[in-house]
Amino acid sequence: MKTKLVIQLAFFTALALCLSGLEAMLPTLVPIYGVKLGLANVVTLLMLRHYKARHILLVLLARILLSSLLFGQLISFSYSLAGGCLCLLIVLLINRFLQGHYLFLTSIFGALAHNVGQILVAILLTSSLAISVYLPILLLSGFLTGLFTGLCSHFIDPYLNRLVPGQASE
Amino acid sequence: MKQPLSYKKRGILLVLLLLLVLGISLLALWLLPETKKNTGSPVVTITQAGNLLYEIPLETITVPYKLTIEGENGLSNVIYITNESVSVESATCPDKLCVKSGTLRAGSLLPIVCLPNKLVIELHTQSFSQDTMDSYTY
Repeated sequence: MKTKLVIQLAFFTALALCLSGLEAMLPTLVPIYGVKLGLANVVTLLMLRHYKARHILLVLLARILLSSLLFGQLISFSYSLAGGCLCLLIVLLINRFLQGHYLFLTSIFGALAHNVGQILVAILLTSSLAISVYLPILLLSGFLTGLFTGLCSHFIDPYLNRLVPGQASE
Repeated sequence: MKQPLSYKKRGILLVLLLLLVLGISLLALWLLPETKKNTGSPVVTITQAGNLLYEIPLETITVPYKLTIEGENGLSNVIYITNESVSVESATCPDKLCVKSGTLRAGSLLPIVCLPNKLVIELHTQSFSQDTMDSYTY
């Protein structure tokens, strides 16, 4: 890995951690697990057009590990990991399917995948199907938060092109 | 020859898929309260990591009392039960979402969940029958 790439990935990890921290400071509006803005997902979406999948995965893993050590409990690690990985997989597939267009659609599907992943882990850990009642609520909230983060990334993306040139061709 | 779909058509396809998912979720949210409407005596079940810890019919409770559920890593939840409602009074987890979830009553849709302690508190409404009565009084 080139030094420049390492530094850029570190920059994105730091950015994602800042956003996680910012979100941890916000009061919880809805007392339901998983109803969150998911601001850190903006970073994944921003990297989508400029970096390879494995580099995005590296940043994602570093962010999840560090943010659950810094802001959360250790238990939130497994939920974030499952949600984050499923989200990244879906985001990569949808982005390829849409040939890089309509970032907000990609983002919405990513948010939905994130919530589905989390609820799957929750069902596994508590081995109680009662939690699946939360799924429709989480899907609706995922739609709204996904739209929000998607639009954020959509408006930030043009500035990123100037900031990190030369990666898109790679 | 079949032309590959343009990105616009692909986008429309995904929007339709999204509308389908949202429609089903809304339908589920709309229909779920109907399934909880049957009148009967409410029964509280407290489950931890898949193990049924308590199954208490609310009508057998005369004096409200508290239950403490201990979990791994020194986590614990204090559950307050009266003869018509259940709530989590306090918890040692950092987010305290189970406390903020409020009170379960007959007809409440969502269970109270404490993910750090792997705890699920549900309120079922069971129609009264003789054999359930026997198992409770046993």
